[in-house]
Amino acid sequence: MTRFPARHEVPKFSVFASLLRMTTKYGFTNVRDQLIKDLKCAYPTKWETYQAAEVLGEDLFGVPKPHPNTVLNLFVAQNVRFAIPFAAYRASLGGFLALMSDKSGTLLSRHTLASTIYGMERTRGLMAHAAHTISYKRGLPDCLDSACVLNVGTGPAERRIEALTKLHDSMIVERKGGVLDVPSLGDLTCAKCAKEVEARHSTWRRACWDLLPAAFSVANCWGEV
Amino acid sequence: MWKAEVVREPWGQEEKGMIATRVPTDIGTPIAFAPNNLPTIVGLDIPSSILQSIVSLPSLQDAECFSETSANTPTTATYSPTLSISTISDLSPTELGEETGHTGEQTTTRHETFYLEDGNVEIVCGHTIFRVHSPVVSFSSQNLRVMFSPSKLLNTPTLDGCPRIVFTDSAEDFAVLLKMIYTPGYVPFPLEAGSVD
Repeated sequence: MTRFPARHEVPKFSVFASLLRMTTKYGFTNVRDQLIKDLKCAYPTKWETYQAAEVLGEDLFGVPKPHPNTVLNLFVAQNVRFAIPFAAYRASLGGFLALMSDKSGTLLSRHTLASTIYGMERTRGLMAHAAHTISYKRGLPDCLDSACVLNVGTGPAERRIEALTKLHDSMIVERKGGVLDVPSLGDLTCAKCAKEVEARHSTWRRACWDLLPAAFSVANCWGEV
Repeated sequence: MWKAEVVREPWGQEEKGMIATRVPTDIGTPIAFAPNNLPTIVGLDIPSSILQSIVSLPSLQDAECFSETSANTPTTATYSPTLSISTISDLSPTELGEETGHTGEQTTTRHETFYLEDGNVEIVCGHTIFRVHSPVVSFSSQNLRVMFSPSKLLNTPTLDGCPRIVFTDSAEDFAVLLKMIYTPGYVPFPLEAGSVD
């Protein structure tokens, strides 16, 4: 064993989990606080921190990377409440199959599983509503760029609806649970329209972020940090 | 016959209670609570049915792990980890963890790193024995300080003059704890220079 290990080595999850368990149990308050502080980078509680973060969720840990369910289990068991919403969100990115995993350490308790699935459905539902609102309700301006999907010229209404549906689907289809991700519009729109859509979508993502604790059943936990 | 006694410690319960007494604070600027207690998001048209479904959820803080802890917590429990110690006369050499080739079910082995010959207390986790310095181990932990107090150790069964205490933790977890204690600079993570709330 190295007596003075190199600082800034990537921590293994197993080591982190052991430290968190033991420092909590035996009251090593200072060490536990340090662990929690380091956790805040990858499990943010503020939208600005989330946007600026380079490493998120279980990517914080070294190889072998833990399953998101394993991390969620640890936070629930050790009562790291502020990190639970984002950990649950990360677990929900894998969809139902990942949430239902029964491999060692990944099995979620019935209550945690129910809350996570519920949160996943609620956030997806909210962002589906966002895509619908952006595409159909808050009329996007017609574009003069012939390469843009929003350029419908003087064509029939059906063409306009078809274009908006493409835009809507680009914000929904194959997104899995990543509702906080920037939508990939591809080459559907011109740069100007893409900026407009992204700005509107960003407002919704921010709202979805703020509802994350309530959606994953740990309301108010971010106020405790 | 000596049997290990496993008692669950109510750490999570205590923390939960502490957190539950705190006053919740607002978590985001776009959200305000309307008279019907539903959050509204300024500038966005979110149906009340969606908001209602989001806020009327079962809470993770009532999750099974907490309720189980509460249900299984003895009313007389203290906040120091409970040791399972019997009198020395009840223990056979095998159960005491003789490392001399016995093949009994309880055969224990010395930890490769943290069996320190000049230690003054032995700790058994599963089938692994640690021998450490109680003043060093308990220096930063009030809980361990109580457990390793002279009065407690006096009443602890000894083997070769060294008190032996059985912990319910896994050997892997305890080895990590000891590595943290005995290795300066072991804990800090690489992201401490990153953006933090």
